[in-house]
Amino acid sequence: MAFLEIRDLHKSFGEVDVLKGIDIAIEEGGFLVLVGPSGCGKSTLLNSIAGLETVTSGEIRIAGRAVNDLHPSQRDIAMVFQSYALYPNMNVAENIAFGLEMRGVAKAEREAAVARVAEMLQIGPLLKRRPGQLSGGQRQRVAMGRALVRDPQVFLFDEPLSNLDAKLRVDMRTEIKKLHQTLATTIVYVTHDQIEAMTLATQIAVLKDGILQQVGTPDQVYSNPANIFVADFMGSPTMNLMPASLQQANGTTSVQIGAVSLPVSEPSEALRSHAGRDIVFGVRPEDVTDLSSADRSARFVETLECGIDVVEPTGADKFVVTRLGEKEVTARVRSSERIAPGDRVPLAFNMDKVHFFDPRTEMRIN
Amino acid sequence: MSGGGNDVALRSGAVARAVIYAVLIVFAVYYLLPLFVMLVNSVKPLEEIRSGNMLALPEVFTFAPWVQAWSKAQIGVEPTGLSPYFVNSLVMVIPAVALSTFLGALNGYVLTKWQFRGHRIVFGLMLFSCFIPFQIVLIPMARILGMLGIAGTTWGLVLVHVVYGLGFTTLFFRNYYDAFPSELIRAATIDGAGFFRIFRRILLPSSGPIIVVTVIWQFTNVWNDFLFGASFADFDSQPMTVALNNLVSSSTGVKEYNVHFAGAILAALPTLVVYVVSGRYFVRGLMAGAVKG
Repeated sequence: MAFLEIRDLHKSFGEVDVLKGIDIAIEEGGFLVLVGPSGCGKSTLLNSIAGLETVTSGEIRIAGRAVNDLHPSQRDIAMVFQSYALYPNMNVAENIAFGLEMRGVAKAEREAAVARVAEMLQIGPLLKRRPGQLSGGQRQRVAMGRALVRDPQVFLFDEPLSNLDAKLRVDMRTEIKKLHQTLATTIVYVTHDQIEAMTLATQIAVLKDGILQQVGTPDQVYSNPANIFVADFMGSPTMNLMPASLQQANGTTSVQIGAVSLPVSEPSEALRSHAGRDIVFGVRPEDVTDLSSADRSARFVETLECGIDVVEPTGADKFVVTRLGEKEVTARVRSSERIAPGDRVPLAFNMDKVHFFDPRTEMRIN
Repeated sequence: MSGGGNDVALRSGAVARAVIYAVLIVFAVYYLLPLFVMLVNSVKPLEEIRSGNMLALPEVFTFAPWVQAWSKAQIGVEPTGLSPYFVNSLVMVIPAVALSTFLGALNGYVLTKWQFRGHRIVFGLMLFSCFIPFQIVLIPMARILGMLGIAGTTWGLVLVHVVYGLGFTTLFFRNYYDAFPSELIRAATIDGAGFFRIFRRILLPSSGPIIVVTVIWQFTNVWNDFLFGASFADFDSQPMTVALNNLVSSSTGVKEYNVHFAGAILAALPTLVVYVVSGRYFVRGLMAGAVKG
């Protein structure tokens, strides 16, 4: 049975429906990342789990126990806030110990717990300082310490890294991942950063407008996006999506993009049933490459001669922008490739990893 | 060339500075003059005031007017001086300020962090009470004090000042707590702190500046109040302001200006002390680092 279970959760603020029937379940020790654009309801969902928001209908169960009607302090959860929410009038040790103090834990025990957490997060030397005297990264650690010390059943993280600068964010991301591997406590983590979602999660839940778009492992969400929104949201640079039509002639199926035609290998039943109709064709930049970078394990690779409009070196790779039909297509080539704007070069399309969507329903065609 | 230009700029800067200082000094003297007059005349014998210049320093220095004002002057029927009334005022002002400040803080906390349906209307009405003139309150207040059986008592005055001050103190605290990050309240809620514990442990310790502002405001207003004191107090609960009036406007005998000056300073002293002492605790930046920096 799932450890954290959310069933048909609805939440409205007056007339506005913020969550429209969310169903998610996660195993004990899992790392669930709620991801989506601003206003998709991810923070509301997290606050509902925490008990900081009441739900309109539906059920939340933690370790088999329905917590809908429990006070936040009785749900056995701990939360790390986006702003860290450290108590400004208390020093670091008092901040970390506050939750234990409220629960009536004896002083000696509290001190031992604070020392243990300080050791784990390497904030021992900061214990006597006030939050105002700490840097952003240190505050972040203290906020995590305050959650860790409680040893709860579920950790809730509300965009904990969004206030850090880029380098620190990457470091802390790794640290959170390490922490999860050590503690194996269930975590629910909200972010709008799809890279954080990919790197941290064991399960990703993509939300948009209060509706769950897809739940799955990072690989499932990335490789088999359920609809156009998920395909577009996950991955950077984003997936190339272009309007196309599906043609069938002489037993071969091909996708027609403007004047270009790409044969589709082993089309599925569902895909063939779209023959003769408009579809949305999607391919990720890393699946459109220079010939020598083409995936050797790919069974079907199509080569197209493409005119290059823009070249964007990133150091590790070069992203080049070309055109298929009316749409721009980004491809990833090796940084050593000598390509300049205006060149015509052959690009390899990995046809094993292309995606088809129904333009009307926006759903994936498997 | 450019050097010459700099010189001109420097010189004109110096001129502007001199003008600013001159104006400031003129105004400082203007405002300090009444205090100076009161001080020098309160330590002169009466004849010296009558015969001489009000602005002159005393030729004969004496504390007699102060002693007279404090403990001997005829106020009402008894020659008690101002001292019993000073005590009356203190006994009335301290609970009135403490209660109205505490209740204002509690109101501000509820109106910002535990909002309920209609909280805006409640706050609007409280704000409205700030604009009600004293005179309108007099008769209803007299009725209420009578019904409660505390008419003419110190506690009656305390109630009047708490009720009247609540609008202001609520306004101060509401605006202060409105900017207080709500995530701190949420964090404390998850940590297991309840309504009053959050108030006492999280909000109040961060409220230093606004408490000082409110205390100064309330202390000054309540201490300086004359109308409520004159209307609702008996002889044994009359505040300092009413007693000072009785001292100064007594119709018998010669006007002892030196005693009046000393009495006026005595009446003003506590508010001065409050400003000087609490002003030092007016520390800013208590909130620094609570949230993202």
